[in-house]
Amino acid sequence: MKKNMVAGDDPRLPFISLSGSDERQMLDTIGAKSIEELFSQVPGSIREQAEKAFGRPHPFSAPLTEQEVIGEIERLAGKNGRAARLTSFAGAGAYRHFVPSALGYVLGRSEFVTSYTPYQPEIAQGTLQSVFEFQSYIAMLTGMDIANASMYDGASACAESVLMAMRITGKRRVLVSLALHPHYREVIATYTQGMDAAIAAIPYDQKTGATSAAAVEASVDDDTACVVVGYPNFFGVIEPLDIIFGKVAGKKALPVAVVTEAMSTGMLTPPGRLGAAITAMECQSFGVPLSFGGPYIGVIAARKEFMRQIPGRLVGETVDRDGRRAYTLTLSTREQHIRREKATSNICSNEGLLAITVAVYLSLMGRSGLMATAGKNHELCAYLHSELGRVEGVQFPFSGPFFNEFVVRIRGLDAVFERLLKSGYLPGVKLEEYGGYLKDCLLINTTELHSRKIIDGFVKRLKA
Amino acid sequence: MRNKTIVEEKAIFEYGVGRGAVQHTTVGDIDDTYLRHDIEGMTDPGEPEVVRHFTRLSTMNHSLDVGMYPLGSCTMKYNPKVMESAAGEKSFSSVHPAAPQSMTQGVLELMYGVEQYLKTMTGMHSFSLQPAAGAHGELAGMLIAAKYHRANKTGRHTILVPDTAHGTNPASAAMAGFRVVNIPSGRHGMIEADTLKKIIDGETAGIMLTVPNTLGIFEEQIVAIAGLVHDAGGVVYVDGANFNALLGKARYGDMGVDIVHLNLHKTFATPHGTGGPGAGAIGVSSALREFLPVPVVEKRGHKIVMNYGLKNTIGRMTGFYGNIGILIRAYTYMRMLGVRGAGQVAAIATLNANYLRSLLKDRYNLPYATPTLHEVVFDDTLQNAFGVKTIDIAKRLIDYGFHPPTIYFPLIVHGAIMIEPTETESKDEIDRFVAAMRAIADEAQSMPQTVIGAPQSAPVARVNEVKAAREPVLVYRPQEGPRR
Repeated sequence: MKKNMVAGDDPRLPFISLSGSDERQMLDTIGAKSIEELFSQVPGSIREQAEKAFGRPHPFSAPLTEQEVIGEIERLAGKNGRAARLTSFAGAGAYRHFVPSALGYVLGRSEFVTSYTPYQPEIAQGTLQSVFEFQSYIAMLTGMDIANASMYDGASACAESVLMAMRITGKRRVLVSLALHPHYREVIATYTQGMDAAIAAIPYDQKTGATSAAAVEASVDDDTACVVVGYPNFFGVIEPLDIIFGKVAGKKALPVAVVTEAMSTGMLTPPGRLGAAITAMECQSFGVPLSFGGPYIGVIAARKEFMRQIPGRLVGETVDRDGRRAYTLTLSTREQHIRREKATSNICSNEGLLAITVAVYLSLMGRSGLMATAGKNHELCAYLHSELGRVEGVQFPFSGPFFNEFVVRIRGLDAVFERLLKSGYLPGVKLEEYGGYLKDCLLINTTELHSRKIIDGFVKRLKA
Repeated sequence: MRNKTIVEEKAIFEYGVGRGAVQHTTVGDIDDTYLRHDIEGMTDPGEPEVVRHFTRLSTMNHSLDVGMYPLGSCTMKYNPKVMESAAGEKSFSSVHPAAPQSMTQGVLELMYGVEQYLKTMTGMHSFSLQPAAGAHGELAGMLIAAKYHRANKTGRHTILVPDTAHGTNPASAAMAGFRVVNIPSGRHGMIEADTLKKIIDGETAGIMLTVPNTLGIFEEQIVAIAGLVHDAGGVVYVDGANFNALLGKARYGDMGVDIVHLNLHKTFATPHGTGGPGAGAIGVSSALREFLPVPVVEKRGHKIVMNYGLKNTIGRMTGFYGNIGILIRAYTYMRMLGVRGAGQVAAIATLNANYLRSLLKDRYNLPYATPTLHEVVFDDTLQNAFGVKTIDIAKRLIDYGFHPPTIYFPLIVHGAIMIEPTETESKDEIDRFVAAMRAIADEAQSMPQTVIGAPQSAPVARVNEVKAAREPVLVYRPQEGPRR
């Protein structure tokens, strides 16, 4: 075992490549007697307190070798095994989709994984062009003019869209549909708490499950910054955006569409063509694993006149000194490192690697592959819907059209849920657990990964 | 000369044009208004085309796995590969966030472990793992400060931010509704208690400090500063982006800090992935625990549970529980350091930075002579005499095979060159970097045009950033005329 002067009795960390003699030579060059001396700026009492704290017994006290840490990870993974093996019908903002094998190989490349924000465009064209293509894909899918280089996730993209609308309009009232994903509504509340915003909830139609256009019409006023609607909404209902957004036509308020299931963009008319001025989207469905809720990838797309108010990084096309096509981060005068407290947002790192994941995923799927897959999602979901319709004690509270997710009311849901869980199914998510929604209601999702056979087995179990 | 064999890689939208059948979707139960029949602009490239396109693009990137990447304040340390296989475990990656807690004890225990380790290493009382990145952690911290003042009806609205701070600091404070007051640093690059005394008033809600600061300097008067702010009724926030310099050596909790955010992708070695995903844990003192973003994980008996019930919580910051995939990587690294081994990180990071500083200080101007920890800031004063600027030095480094340092930051140093080697660079690699920097200093004198014309060996020549901003093209448009 290599020893050095900082490691004490422990072996040197495997990620440190200095030998003891390197350290001595380097200290000589510096003109210091010990490494400790380099820390003399830090008050001695603080260093002593730390030393004392680190000397106390701690379950993680001893460094683990790579072999040992793999064992530890396997132990923890094992305790998750049942959850990983469930046949899941849960969606609600996180979706399991097929991922082409090529994706992992391309995305595993060190040049993507271990590089950083492309501050130096000459040696980051790989990142820049890939993210430019991501932005282009998002614009095509949402029907918007432009898109940014990503946000943390759909919920934060949604909250930042609200802030963006407040900036553009200079207004403070925010109309949020109660049929928008409840977590997204919570994140809007978090982001706007220091902003003097007035958030008004827009009810949904109890029969269709769609946001009430009449309520939007009644609520929107001259002080309204935006109206925020899910597409499809939390209940899986395809909102009639053209009708809802039609109610704010002629007002200052900006229509904001929120897409929590990006796969829907392969089948549904893009929000940009139904009147949206800003679209916030969660792109996890495009090749990003479920990973217990993150990291996911959000994005904001918008009409081009809002280019200078969009938060986050933007990649633009330009040329190099020799006149060849090249890419670079651009319009950075919107951003925190230049504008500081006057920036459009504080966001710095985003979800770069996942933006590239999305670009590679969409390229592998292609236009026809994506449209066919989206169609299959709907077809299988419609099949599940019709099969469940034949089960006694099962009702559908909402009549609105759906894409790949819908709400079903099941008598005695809690007991049925537990029973299905025991049989290895995650039957969906209970609406009640998302606060303030109907009792005995389950939000249920199918994707292209649910064959008719899987659906038949599930429905059979549910009946039993 | 530039390698002329490198040809421009065309856009993915120029592959597979006209291939693939467009299906005219008809779905009985959905009104045709809501169905799309094409995705204009998307094409159908074949798998080999896609793989080659993105692989070719990848080769145009500099990355940590090919060489030193000394971006100051970004902590570009080597990313151990075992962390990737850990995060790739199917039993983590395929779990839906709505899976019951009784079946997800593995990942919950891991989150709990991350919190416990961070508490020990920082001396803070509690953590939340909600934030998805460093700036997101800053926002959480500022929202906590704001809510604390609202809850206590103090009526305080200003946050003090030093001129050395990352731009994210004032931006985060503004997003939380604060007014930002800049504090000038003293001539040694530190905040001086005496300056602060004159600025603090009845409006002061708190201070945001970066420790060590962006000059790599430890704020020597931190304890006194914290005392002043506390006495005035404010909270002390630390931006822990530079925690790598202190890991295993000193703890924010022992300095009187109330709120700190950490960038797990910096200090805990998770890969930067072209700019995220990262993770930004937020830690607080016991008095502020109830303000943390939810959920937080807690141990109840033998079970780990998610707690949403904090009395004054600022709320939820992400759709689910934070960037779990990054937490898995960070946990792997934390366990390999242990509590005992963590001190090696700060020790070697500081040794490497000081070694580099000693070898360059005769050729590059040091605007501050104050001792530094994990990073060092030079400027281009000596090269300006020959018409060579920081940007030129940075671009010339590319020709020597290195990623340039952080440049033009911190803003208080004109023409700043901010270098952070981290603990994972070997003496050899640092020596090579130093040799390149010294060679560039020579060239600046003897053949400045070569430096100004750099890079010569990158996939593209110097990129026209002005044109990009003046005539923004943010999405693909088909090329007109013959291709170059």
